[in-house]
Amino acid sequence: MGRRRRARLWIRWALRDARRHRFQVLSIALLLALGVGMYAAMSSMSVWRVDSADASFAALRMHDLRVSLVEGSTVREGALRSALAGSVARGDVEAAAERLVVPTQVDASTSGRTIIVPGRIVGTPAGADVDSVEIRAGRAATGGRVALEHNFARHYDLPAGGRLTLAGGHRVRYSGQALAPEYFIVTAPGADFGAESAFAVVFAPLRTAQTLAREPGQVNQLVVRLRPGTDPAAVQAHLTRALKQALPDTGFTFTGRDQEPAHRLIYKDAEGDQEMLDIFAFLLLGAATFAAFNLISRTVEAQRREIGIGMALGVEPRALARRPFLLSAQIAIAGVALGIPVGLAADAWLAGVMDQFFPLPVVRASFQTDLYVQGAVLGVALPLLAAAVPVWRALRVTPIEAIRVGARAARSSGLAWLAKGVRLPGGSLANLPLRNVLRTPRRTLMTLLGIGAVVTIVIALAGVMDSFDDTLEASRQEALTGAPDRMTVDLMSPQRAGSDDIQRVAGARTVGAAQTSLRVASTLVAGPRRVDVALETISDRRPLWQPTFDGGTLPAERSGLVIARRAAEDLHVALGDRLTVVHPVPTGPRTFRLVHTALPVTGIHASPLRFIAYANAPAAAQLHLAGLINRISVVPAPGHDADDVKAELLRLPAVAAVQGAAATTDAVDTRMQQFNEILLITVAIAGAMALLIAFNATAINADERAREHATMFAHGVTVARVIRGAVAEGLIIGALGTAAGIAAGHGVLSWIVNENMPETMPDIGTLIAVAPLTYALAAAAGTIVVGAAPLLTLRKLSRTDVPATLRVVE
Amino acid sequence: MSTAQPHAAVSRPAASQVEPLIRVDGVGRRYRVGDNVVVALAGVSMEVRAEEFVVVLGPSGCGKTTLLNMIGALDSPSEGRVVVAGRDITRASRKELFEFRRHGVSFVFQTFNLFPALTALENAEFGADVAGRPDPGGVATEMLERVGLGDRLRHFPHELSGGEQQRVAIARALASGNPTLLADEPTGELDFRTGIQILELLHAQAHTGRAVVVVTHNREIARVADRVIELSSGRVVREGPPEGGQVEIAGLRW
Repeated sequence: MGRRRRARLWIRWALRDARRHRFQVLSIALLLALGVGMYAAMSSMSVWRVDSADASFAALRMHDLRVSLVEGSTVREGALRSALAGSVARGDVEAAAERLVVPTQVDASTSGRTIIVPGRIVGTPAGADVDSVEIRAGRAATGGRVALEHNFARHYDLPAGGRLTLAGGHRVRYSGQALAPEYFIVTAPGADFGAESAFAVVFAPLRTAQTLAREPGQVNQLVVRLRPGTDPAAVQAHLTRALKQALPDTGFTFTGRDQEPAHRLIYKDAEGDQEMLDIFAFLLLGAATFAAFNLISRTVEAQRREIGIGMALGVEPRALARRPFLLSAQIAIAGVALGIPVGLAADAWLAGVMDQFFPLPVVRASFQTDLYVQGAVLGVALPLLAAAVPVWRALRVTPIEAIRVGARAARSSGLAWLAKGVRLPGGSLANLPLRNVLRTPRRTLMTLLGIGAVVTIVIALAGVMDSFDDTLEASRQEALTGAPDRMTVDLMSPQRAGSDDIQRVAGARTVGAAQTSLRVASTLVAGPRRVDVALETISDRRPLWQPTFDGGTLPAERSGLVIARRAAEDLHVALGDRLTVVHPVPTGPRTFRLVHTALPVTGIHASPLRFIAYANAPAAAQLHLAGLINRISVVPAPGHDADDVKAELLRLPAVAAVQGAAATTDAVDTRMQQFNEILLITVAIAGAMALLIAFNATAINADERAREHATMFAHGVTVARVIRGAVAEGLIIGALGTAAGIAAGHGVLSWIVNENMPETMPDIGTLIAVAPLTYALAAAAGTIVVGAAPLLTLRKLSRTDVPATLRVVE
Repeated sequence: MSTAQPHAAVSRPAASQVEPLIRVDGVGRRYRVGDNVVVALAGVSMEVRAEEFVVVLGPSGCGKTTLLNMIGALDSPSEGRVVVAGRDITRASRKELFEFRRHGVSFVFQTFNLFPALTALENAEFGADVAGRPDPGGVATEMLERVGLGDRLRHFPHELSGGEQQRVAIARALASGNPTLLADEPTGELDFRTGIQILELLHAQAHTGRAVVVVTHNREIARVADRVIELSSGRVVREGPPEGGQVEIAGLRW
């Protein structure tokens, strides 16, 4: 036979093998495709997000430096630009604009739905060549009209244009929805995570913003875009000197582009989320390739007898290895080829998820060939390796041993001896499943590990969701302890206790009871470590609500500071240690400056949110903030609800925000929703993989045990009874795989929560939790699916040709 | 090897006084292979009574295993009737056929077909279990002792020789307590010495009231039969006592 003819024969033979086992080949290929395709797609997300973010920030010409006056301070329009013009840094500046950015309350209620949230008006001069907005729906804001931030509008499915009511009862029309680089991820003040559902940004021409804020001719921010290659630190130093000279009584802060919450979070999230997605991508790829390895290995093992015949006929081992390798190569190629459409579909889905949660002006979600090749290499290598093992096992024995499959089957009982003394009730048939599991420990282990990997994915992924839920529930409970209807009313600026505005809020018709406090954005500093917090000073009189203490307390007589456990861990402080609090103090009616005050940590509160901190009245005095109020906790009066309170208080000009006391938690909750879809679909894919693994394992089992089954049928054992045995065997392997998967899943979950999340979500002290439903899901994926898979062989078993199966001539 | 003892579950009326335990009446079996029809059996009739040791003899492909499969309800004839213990199994439902296999016949296969994960005792117990006999463990132990494997109860099949494995298979068949024992080339996988031992065991079963049908191509084995039914090309070509008269097992040579 010529070389070419011989090659054609081997290929034809391998193709026939594939056709004969087409369902197995297809399902193993599908497993590989799911693993490789999902791996490539899930691993691509950070690349897409970074590419898209880079392009989007560039497209909207985001500022490199932002100068903000201390909260509540404003200066006359032109003062900041003058300071810049007078500094030596002016030559490094490509564009600059003065803005007025003020807090507000936004009522975007539609018919039948009340939407009242805190927000911000951003007033920018027309034609500014820095911080452009992209209109996603409707038209740009001109004249007295404004534009509504797109993430918020989309969250509530608001129309492209409509009416808004802002703090002070100002009614304005918004003509469109806009995306701005500072709000690619919307964050509420003091919170370091997305809050598009709880925070509305209104973009307005500068004049309109000044009118709405009752600050005519005033500004409080300067945004600057630098020439390429300029050192922002040097510009900041020059500008600091110039501003201190021009505005000696006004405190100001610099925020670099990298420190802007949206900019920082978008890259940090991309990196952090990717770490988590990578784990799941690896788990999916691992489970898929592992299962493929196992299944191909067993499929090739079934050719052992024919390999033996070949050996007996004097065929060279190298030639004998061709057929199994060609079969596994076909599976690998089919898997990798199918992986491309799977990957493209997953790309489209994940790009959709990305666009839903992080809409950007420019989206770049291209197929990442290099990542696909990474997965594909594993997807091709493992099937070939899977073929190598049984081929090697067949070639190392004598031809006659390889041929005598029946004798080989009875050559070893594996680990069945372990169960020799174990007698399960129900006779020898009832004992068979456990024995079969032990008889072939290698196969059992491989199937078990494949199932275990799937269960690991389910536990880890669903566990992440459960942990979020538990953490947020703990936070919600802490915020609402003793007053489930509690709401917080934030004032435009701090006021003296007992002021008319405060009296108006406390005495409002819809308000039942009130409790006052001051909340200021501060930074806790311990050596080189810093944590940004919203520090709330509360008095001894706390009729509505007070924090729960996990440790220590808030003393009545001396200064005390209560921080979150996560903050204490991050700052490396314990009860009794002193912290430096960097906080604003008023220097005039509209001006503040930042000061450093040392306070002792006297308590740890129960909220998992790191950015929440409390100080008592003596501490407030030490902070020079005694007697100042900017937050009022209220509960609705009998017969009124939260919407009534919002509607009434919104009309008060001094009120900036009215929201449920757990609004921050709800905002975090919204942020977490992005993962839910990814996690749920990944869990669904894991379930599909479990089914494919189980089906294949069962189909191969049915082939391998054909004679045993025929023997049983010859003794009058019914098909149903044989299936029951296979189900029992599947349940044992499934239960063991589930147990292993649950243990591994907890390990992965623990790593994610304890190692990964502190990096990616530093503001949340996530609690590890796995809900009963998750265990049920894992049991369903790992045990029930595997246990039920033998039912798929019912038809095949019913059609067993008993005499032909029993009379295998060897 | 211990001598076979009468089995409590098997009645022992004199052979001449009873109806045939197995009656095969004009049985034919055709298979379609592609466009061709292969006739495996054609108009085969035979009877086997309790306590008879009958050998079905014939070359490879003559239809002897097909005939055994008909009697054991593993296959159904294209024509004719098979009546075992008064039950027409050719008219039985699928459920009845399963029940018949549990309580009517026991098989011994050429390649043993033991369950590798079960010990010798558990394999034998399987037969008793399936047949629904009380105290299957006790029955299995007794049967293994009878076939001389009382000291190998807890051994797995791979720890036993070929002859021992076949003895376990016989013990499994006996443990069912069924009145008909069907053996398909039971010595085919064994050396002469072991084959003789197996033959002695099977032969002894006919004296416990069972009907024993052994299928073989080995003419030497046929010499110990009470009756020989010789098949060729799917037809009975001779039926009667062994040619040259029945001999003792000890006198066999192959």
